[in-house]
Amino acid sequence: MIKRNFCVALLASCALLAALPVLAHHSFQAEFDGSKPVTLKGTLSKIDWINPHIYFYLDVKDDAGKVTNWTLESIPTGFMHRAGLTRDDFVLGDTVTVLAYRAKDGTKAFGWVQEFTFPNGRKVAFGATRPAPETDQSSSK
Amino acid sequence: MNPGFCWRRWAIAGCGVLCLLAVSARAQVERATVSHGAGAAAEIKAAAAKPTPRTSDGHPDLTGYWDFPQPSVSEHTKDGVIYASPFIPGGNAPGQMQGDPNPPPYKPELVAKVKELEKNQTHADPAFHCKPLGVPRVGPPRQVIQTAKLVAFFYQVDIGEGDQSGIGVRLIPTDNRPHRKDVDPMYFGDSVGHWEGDTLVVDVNHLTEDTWLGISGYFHSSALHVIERYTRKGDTLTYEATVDDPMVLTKPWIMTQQTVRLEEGMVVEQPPCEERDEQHLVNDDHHTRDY
Repeated sequence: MIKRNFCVALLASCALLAALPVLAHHSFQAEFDGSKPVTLKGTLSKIDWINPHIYFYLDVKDDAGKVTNWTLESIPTGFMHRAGLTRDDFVLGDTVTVLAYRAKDGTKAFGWVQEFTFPNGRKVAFGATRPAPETDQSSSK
Repeated sequence: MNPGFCWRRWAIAGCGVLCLLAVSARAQVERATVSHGAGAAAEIKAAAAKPTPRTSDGHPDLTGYWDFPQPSVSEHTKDGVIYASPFIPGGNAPGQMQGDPNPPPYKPELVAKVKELEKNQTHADPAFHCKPLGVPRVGPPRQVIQTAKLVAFFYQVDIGEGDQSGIGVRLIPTDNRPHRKDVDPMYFGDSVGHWEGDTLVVDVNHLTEDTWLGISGYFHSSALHVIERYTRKGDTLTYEATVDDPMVLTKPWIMTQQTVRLEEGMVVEQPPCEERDEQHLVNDDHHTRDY
């Protein structure tokens, strides 16, 4: 079962990566590592609603109580509008969960948002495919 | 060796190959088809079959909000998940692009430079660094207001890059005046228009060198001269451009035409474009869009 789940996860990752290059103004592979997913739960502390990428900033607290401010790159504002989302849908201070992929250049606490979950459970996926839960092999720590 | 570990290594390698294939599928392609689904052509055809409204002076009325066929807001939601990208489950899929079927005819001695610029697009493309796409790369306007002697074009580039903060505007006189001579090179250049039958023909000069003709390293010189043709048929608007630059091209290049459809809507002010990625890029892979 573990092997099957891993296969599903890999295929999902491949589909995800195949979908991503056309979504950014550089390719996903040039900046982010699809093999390094991280799930973050934290407080939305700031948003730069700019182009060509929106940036979300998330305060994530680890088990020791240390807070790390993550910078999370996202899609252009026009893509949000096409999907019916505006800046007002993202409320500072909300506790949200984000599935992200870490930066390839080693920059700490910097990644690409692949899936954003609002406090009420509403999900936004930034690609035609959603990663299988099995790809979420990392923690925020 | 742990069999599971070996299996994983092969699986990861296979995934890598698939991903590389996706990246290598870079191309110039017809924008509406790739960005907005295989059904776009049928939607355009149906819109073109409608009557063509005309102004009191008999010209086709270009006034309106124009866009490529897009998934509706409701189509972006599947099984309770909002898919905030042009590619939605069950819809069009990326990674289906082939080589550019219509590249500009560069002088042989400049082909290597074009290839080098394409490879280096994330560093060399002015639009990557938030400069306007310019004419003709910007394509058809998102909104038009037409009067008897002046046509106003408004632009909005959803991808963000190459978009202008606020609202990008072009004013095109159609009163037979000549080009201005007291202007600097501009991203949208100096435009004068006239009607040829049902087509608005716009002559554009005074274009800055600081734009590309397309994403694949298609640079040009300050000698760039563009003749655009805007034709409304029914509820569609077709954009054609003939690009002449004797400094870099062997002959005028006719861009692949683009057709947009009349929609309900209005351009909105765009937030600033701030390039922040270049410092994080670890290779030259870049996007595959056609503009």
